[in-house]
Amino acid sequence: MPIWSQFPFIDVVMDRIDTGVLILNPQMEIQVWNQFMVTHSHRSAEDVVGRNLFDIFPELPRAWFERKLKGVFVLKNQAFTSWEQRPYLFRFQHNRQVTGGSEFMYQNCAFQPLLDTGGEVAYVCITIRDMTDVAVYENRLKDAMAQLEVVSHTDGLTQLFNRAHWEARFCEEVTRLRRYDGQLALLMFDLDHFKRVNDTYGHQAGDEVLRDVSARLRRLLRSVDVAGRYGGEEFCIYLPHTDLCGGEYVAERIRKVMCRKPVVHEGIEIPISASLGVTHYRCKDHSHEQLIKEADTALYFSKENGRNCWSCFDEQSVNPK
Amino acid sequence: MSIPLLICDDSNMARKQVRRALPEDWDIDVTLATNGEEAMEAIRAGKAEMLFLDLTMPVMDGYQVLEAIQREGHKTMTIVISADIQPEAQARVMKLKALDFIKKPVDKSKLTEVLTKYGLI
Amino acid sequence: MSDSLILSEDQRDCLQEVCNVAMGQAGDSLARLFNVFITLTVPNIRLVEAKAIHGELSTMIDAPTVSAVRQAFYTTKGNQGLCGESIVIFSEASFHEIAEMMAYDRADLGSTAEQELLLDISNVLNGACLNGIAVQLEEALSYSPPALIGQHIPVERILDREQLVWDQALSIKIGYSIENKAFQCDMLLFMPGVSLSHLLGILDMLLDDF
Repeated sequence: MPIWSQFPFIDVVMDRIDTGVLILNPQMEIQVWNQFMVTHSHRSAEDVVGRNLFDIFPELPRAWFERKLKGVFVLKNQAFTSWEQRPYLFRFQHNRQVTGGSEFMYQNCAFQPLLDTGGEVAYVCITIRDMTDVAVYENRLKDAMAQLEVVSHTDGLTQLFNRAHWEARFCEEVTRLRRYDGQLALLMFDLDHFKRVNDTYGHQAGDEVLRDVSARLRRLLRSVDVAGRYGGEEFCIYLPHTDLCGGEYVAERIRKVMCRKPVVHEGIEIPISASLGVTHYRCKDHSHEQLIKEADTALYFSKENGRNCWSCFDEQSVNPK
Repeated sequence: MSIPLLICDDSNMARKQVRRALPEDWDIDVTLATNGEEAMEAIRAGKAEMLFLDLTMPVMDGYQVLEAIQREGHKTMTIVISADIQPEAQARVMKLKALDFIKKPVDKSKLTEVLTKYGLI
Repeated sequence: MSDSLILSEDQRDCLQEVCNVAMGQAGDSLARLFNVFITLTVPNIRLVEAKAIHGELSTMIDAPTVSAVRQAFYTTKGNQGLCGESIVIFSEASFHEIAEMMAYDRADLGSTAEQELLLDISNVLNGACLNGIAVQLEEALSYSPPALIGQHIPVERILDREQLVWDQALSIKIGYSIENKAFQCDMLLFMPGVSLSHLLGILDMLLDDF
């Protein structure tokens, strides 16, 4: 027997510790209910001891709870629950009544078998620890990490994906295609005479043009299409499940939507237009770098042939339309 | 004449444990095997009127030994001594015509009880 | 660096048999919990060097990605004894099969339910197997709650070599699979340093009995 078991204040300690202690017999009747449990459940020990746990707390997830206890009774093994998977066992108020951050007390629970002299499980002791502080901070950290991830993937000016992230996703998509087959169209486009915009109207006007272009682009694309800012005034879009014909259709729509209306910056109208290059996934040994190169070649061809038009990459020739 | 007895287990310690649990005054001629293949060789050589057999072993496991004994028609009486205490494991070895099943770690009283039950001592 | 420990053939054999018996008990626990038949394999005992741990892991675990759970164990008898960590590694098996066996409600099945299941199974295996080892070595153990190392991660991500504070540890690999099911998991027990010397001492005492 441990030396401290005879110590006179042990029962006081049981009621003062910042941990819930609850002991059940095999009939699920409550045997011990310490002050932590009283405080947080608003049920006194006199009220609950000797009564069936599920009668008093019908909201407990009974099937789950019994499965957990089976492990303890049959296997004589400890069991645990963590707030990360199961936020709480009992829906208690937490002590962050002022600082807040959570609706309830997050809990870590341990289920310990208490063996009689014959080695059989006489009782199960459940201890409940308040993990709300940890959970609140961890959840904040997770939110911050998620925000950070968004920021690291996004181009600040246009709110489109930045080049690195767009290219990584495009590469994944092409890898998937090479394994499972399917279709994909790739579009790259460049604003015509963008340098002139910057020189004539100033860089702030140039920024406004880029913002407006990306807004127009977002409105036009499907939710599955993935657009990015490839460089200065160059944009890239891949269209999953889309053949060349579909790619051409989208290219024409982008061309139209860009030149239809000028961008307005501080009351000044700035006319814009775009030149586009289109290509599509054709065979298993097609790499994502190759596709980008093809779209770029077609884009260059559009530039050479009068701008404000789109071209398709073709192994033999490239024709502007 | 002493009884040819074979102990088959991949663990040296387990083989020793079985030997130590055998009745001291029993007139036996003990052969040891460290896997099923060695056991089958010994059985074919007539060194196993009785066999104490482990189940989980490399090369050839206990189930395969029991099958081979049946297939080759040996008269070996097998008592399985295994750590695999699943009821299903016991049912399977009994179906494969093992005489009985003893849980590891083997103790003397249990082994004596089983041997007495079958009139072997 | 501490002196290299060596495991004699007798010590290895003795420990293997102890693990064998414990593994049988853990397999039986799992079988009773799921009403299935567990296929057991011979435990694999090795001394591993921290600097070679990734090579060891990929040799021991033959799967590109896995889910892993860790749990610490420590003696409850006095201030010196067995302690270490167990890592249970699940192959990318059919999770729904396990969920069905554990009688989880279909509605319950989400990523947190999957995590809870991995933690529960690890806890059952660790408890049963380590208690089995402890009883034979006349020890008593207590456990930390199981914690998820990661889901669907490459094998080498299980242990971060840079973080390891030991040079040499004993590793015991125990494999469990369920007959006719896609379920497969491996339990790796790691005991470094002092705990390992303590264990070797106990094994020597056991061997002296023979």
